[in-house]
Amino acid sequence: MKKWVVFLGLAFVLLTGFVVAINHADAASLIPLDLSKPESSQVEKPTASPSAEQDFQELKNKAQARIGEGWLYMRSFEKFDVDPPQEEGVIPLVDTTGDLWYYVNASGYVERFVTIFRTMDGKIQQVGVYSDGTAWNTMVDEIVEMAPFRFEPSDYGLPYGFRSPDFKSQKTVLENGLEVVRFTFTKQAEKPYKSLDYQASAPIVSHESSYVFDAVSGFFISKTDIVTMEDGTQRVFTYLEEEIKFDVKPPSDVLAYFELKKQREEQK
Amino acid sequence: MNKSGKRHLVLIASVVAIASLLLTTIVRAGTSSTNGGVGDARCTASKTITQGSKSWDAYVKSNCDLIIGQIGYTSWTVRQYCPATDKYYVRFQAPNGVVSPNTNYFQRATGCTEYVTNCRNGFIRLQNMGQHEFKTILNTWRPIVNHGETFFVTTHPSGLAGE
Repeated sequence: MKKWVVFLGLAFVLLTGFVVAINHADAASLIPLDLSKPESSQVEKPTASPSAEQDFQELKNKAQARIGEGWLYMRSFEKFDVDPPQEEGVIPLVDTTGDLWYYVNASGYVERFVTIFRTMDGKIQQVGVYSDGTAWNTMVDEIVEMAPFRFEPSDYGLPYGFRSPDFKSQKTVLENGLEVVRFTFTKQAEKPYKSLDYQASAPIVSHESSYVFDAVSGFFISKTDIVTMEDGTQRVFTYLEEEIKFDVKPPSDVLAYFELKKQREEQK
Repeated sequence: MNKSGKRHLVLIASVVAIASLLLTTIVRAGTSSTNGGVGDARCTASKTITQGSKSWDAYVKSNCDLIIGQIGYTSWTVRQYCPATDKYYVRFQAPNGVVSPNTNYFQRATGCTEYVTNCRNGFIRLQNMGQHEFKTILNTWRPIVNHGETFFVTTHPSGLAGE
C-alpha cells in the first residue's frame, strides 16, 4: 500500500511539473536563455502547419540569397494605436519612420550600422550606432557591448507564430499587382488582462498577427498586430512596413555618426 | 487508508504544491536584488519582470526587517530594447521618486505592458531599472538595481549578443 501511495505521489508530481511546463510553453520565450549558446540549442519544434513554415523558409532562403557584401539600406515606418496614458510616468508608443544602414561583410556578418528614427514631424527621436563591438544609442546615451551578428532578412518574429495552431500562409496578389505571401496566426490570452497600453479600454482577450512578404524576392513587406478586447472591440496595436535596397552607401551626415560615437566613447 | 498512508498523501500534496509554485516562478518571473541596510534595519532592494505570452510586468520592491522613516524609489525606468536596430521603447519613466513613510515595505508594478514585436529578428530585451530609497533620520541607502530579461520572438536567433 505504502509503495503504491509513494509511486502515485511521484507520478503526480512529475505529471504536474509537465503540465505546468506545457502551460507555459506558449511563452517559451519566457525562459532567459544564454545568448552565447549555439543556435541548435534554441531551435523550437514547430507545432502547426508545416506547409506554412515551409513557405516561410523558402521566402527566407530567397531573400538570404540576395544578400551580399556591402551596404544595405532599409526604410521603415511603424504606427501604433494605443490609449492616452492615464497614469503619471506611462509613456505612449510613438509613430516613427526609420532609415537603417547596415554594412555586411564577406562572411555575412554586420560589422557596423546606423539607424535613425524620426517622429512623424521629421524630428530625430533616436539614433543607434554600432561599430567595433559596441552600440551607442543617442536617446538613452548608453553604450552596450554587442557581438557581430549574421545579417538575416527581416522576419520580425514571424516564427513565434509557428506555435499557434492556426498559423497559416496564403498566396495572394495585392492591388498594385505585387505577388505576396500572407501569414496569419492568433494568440489567445491565458485570461483577459488590462493592458498598460489600453488603460481606457476593456481587457484584452487575444492578439492576431498578419505578416506580408514579397513572394518573388522573399523580403518582408509589412506586419499588423491587432488586439481584441473583451467587449469585441478590435484595435491595430501596431502596423509596421519596411523596404530594403542594396548597395546604397550612407550619406556623409550618416557616416559622421561613427565619429560621434568614438568621441562619446572617449568621453565616457 | 491507514494513518501512514494519509501522512504520505499530505506530504505528497505539499511537494506537488511547492513544485508547481517553483516551476511557475522559474519560468515566468525573474528578479535581481541586492541586500544592505540602513541604521539597524536589514533591507533588500529588488526589481522583477514577469512575462506573459503577449505582455509583461515590471515590479520595484523595497523592504526591510524593521520599520524605517522612508522606503521606496528615487528613480524607476521600464523599457524595451531591440538590439538588431539599437532602438529603445521607453514605456515607463517615473517623473519623481515615490516613498512611503514609517513602514518596512514598498512595492509598485507597471501593469501589463504589450511587447512591441517590431524588433527585426531574434529577441527583445526587457529592462527594469532604477534607484531605491531607504532612509532613517541619520542614514540613507540608495542602491541601484537593474534587471533585464530576454523575450525571443523567433526560432532563429540571429546570434546577437545581449547586455
